[in-house]
Amino acid sequence: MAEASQAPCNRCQENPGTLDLRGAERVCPQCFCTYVGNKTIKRMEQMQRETRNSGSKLPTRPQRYLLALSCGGASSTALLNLLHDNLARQQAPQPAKGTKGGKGGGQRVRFEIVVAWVDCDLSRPPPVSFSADGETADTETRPETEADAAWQRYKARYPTFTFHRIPLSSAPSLRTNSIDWSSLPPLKEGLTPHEQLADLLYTRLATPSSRADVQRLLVRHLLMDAARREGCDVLLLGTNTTALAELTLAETAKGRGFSLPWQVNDGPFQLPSFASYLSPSSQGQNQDQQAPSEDTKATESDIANSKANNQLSIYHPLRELFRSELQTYITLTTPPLTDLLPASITSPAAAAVAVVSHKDLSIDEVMSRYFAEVEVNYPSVVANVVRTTGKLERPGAGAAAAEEPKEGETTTGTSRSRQRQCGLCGIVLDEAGDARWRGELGEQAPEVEERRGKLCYGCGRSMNG
Amino acid sequence: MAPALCAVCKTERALIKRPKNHQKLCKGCFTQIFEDEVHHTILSSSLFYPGEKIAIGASGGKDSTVLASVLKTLNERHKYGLDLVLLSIDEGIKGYRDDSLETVKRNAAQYDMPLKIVGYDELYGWTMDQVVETIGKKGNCTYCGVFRRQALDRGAKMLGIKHVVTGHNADDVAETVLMNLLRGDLARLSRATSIVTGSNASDVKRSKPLKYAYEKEIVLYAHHKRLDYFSTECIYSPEAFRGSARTLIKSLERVRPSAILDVVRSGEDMARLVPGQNQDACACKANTSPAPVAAEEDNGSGCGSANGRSTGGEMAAMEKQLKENEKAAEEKLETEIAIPKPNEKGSRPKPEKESKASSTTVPIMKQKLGSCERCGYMSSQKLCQACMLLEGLNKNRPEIQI
Repeated sequence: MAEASQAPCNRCQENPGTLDLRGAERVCPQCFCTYVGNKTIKRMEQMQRETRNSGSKLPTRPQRYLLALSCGGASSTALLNLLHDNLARQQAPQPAKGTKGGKGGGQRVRFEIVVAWVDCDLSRPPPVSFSADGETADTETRPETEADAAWQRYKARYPTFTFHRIPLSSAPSLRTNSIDWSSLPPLKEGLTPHEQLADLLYTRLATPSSRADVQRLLVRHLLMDAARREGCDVLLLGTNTTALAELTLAETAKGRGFSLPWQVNDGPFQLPSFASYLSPSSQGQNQDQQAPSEDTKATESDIANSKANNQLSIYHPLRELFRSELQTYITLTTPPLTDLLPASITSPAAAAVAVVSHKDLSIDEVMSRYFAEVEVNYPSVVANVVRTTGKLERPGAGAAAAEEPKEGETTTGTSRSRQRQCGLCGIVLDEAGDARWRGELGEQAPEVEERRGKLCYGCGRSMNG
Repeated sequence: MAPALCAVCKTERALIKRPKNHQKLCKGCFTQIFEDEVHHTILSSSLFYPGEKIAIGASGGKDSTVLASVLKTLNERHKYGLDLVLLSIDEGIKGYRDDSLETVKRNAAQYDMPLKIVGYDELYGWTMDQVVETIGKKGNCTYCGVFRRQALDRGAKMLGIKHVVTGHNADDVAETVLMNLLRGDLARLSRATSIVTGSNASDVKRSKPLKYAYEKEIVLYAHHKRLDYFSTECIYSPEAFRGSARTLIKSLERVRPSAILDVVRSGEDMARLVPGQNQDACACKANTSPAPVAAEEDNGSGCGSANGRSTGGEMAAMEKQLKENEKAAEEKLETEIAIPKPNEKGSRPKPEKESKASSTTVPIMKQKLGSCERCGYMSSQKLCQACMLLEGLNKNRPEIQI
């Protein structure tokens, strides 16, 4: 970088331009961070316009966002920091002198942040006092892991935010009942929820692809559930451009082309609501460990309200930033955000990707490897994939409106309930499409007991394939 | 360990692990199942009617050779009553096509089918070798692809045939789906997945009876039936996008064999989500055949012979183009093409550089089909693609005329 440092930053013309920005400019670290911040805040402003219009909420109340943190993930860590900085600027009494852009200070605070991390570590049980609401009271009872330490560092660095750590194993006790457990292999009796989940993912599901897929969907449900419970207006995911492109092609490869617009695009998501998994007999046992305590924000009437309008907005504010840009960003803040991440992630050993057999790769991993390469050479192609998906219409959303009421149906309520949703991913089922496909391939409809829930094509593949 | 028995007949030794689902089968059961599945596709999509004259687009390669063999078998076994003809295109590529045409000639004798060969030189006045001499190796696949599609149509017309079947397999379709996602071409993506293409505007319809057949199974079938096919790849450079997509498909297949079909399924579903498309989940009402879609460029440009030997030229070109678009958008040099959203926007001054990503829906232009002013081939423009390309070529060669 010695020779590059001679040229001044393209933007501020003051500091040396040490960083490449999209192959078009050389900028200084300060301007690079501003660029990343602007790209994010612009999406946030767009989101605020969209969600305020559609919601019936009072416009004066600050919006509440649930920020999905992947403990150690560069992108979501970057998003956390960007929103923290943005909030700090809104709260600042006076604009700091020399602040560029004029904005900042003395503003109305526009949002509050709740941070949630779904802990997917099933190799050991969660702390004893673990509740679905997340606070770990004592870590003494078990040795601290890298992730535990990282989690503590996050909390220490952002003391003004509320943090929730949600164990993956609390998925069966979701309040929103957005998963139809009868559509999945039955959870093994007589195990702790934690062991049940481990059994489901590692014993019942045959391949790494299925495991990664189901886990991703469970995490999504837990986040949506936490967002509802915390009374949040929007769930913010830290998925960047590269990750969204990966998601697009990975879901295409899993047979979920139909649900792409729901998964990749921003906007409201209609949460399904199925019968509770917890049967009376098992309820007591589960409640001991993870039924949410009663002092959570949501009351029973809130739940009833939310059922009437079981919608949650999901947005990806980093959708216009590449993974590599966020990885650069986290090294540039003071102090660097890389300090927060578990050592194993930032160590050089982790950077060198081990070559593993194809058998042990998941479809998601195949895609990340592919796009890691494409991002370096053809970043615009990556961005274009995401833009292209953005043009697809959401099935169901339009169909529900276009569908004529049949058989004397008049209320929108019944016609909505007629739109069956997949028991796992929650996307509107494409039953006619499934029947046609089976017809074309000459396959039999899977023999499903009448009382069992239905899965979409892609989720069915993950269960059986 | 005792040798595994065939999962179907349970008597013969299993010699084949089916690439599609890893089922272990004996030779006889494998060929039977392969044929049955193609038969099922033909029936469920109502591809043919009794007495129909069918031209098989035959290149001498494995796909079209298997297609010809299977169709002959099924035609006899299930009494389709089809009149099958082999139709070959001579692109004029020395060292590639002349050899493969010899294979087709042998096939014609083996399957007792008439053979018609149509040459680019007689149709367009240019052989591919001459085209490459003029424009170089870069981008020549575009010419070849455009010319071939028309050539098949014209050849069929010469024979008085209104239906051409091609050997496109599931891998090809999956590859096309991923490729069009990578290049952001939803219009093509939605066309590529249809089993029948060719609209009412065109006299000749196309179909792909092997649409659900895995490439690996086609190779196995050809091997076990000892079919005579030609396996050299085209000598000219392939498209980068297709090569890239092909590599990806192969990796996916290794991880989860069903992935190829799953991509095809996704492609079909996404086609219905393209704005302006019929969202009805079931395009085929029970027994009617699926609505044919425009055949023009139905399989992207190029011939699909790229085996990952990508040069990157096409991807690099697109990268450059996209970069320029982005820059223009940032600087507001271009007029905003995103449709302004109806809700209020104007109360306070907008931050400039309005982002035009995700949420704004831009309708995908649906092409209106007319016919080319010069040659009469169906086209959405005044001139069809072939005539446009020819115009460019002929400008560089004012002297020589046909």
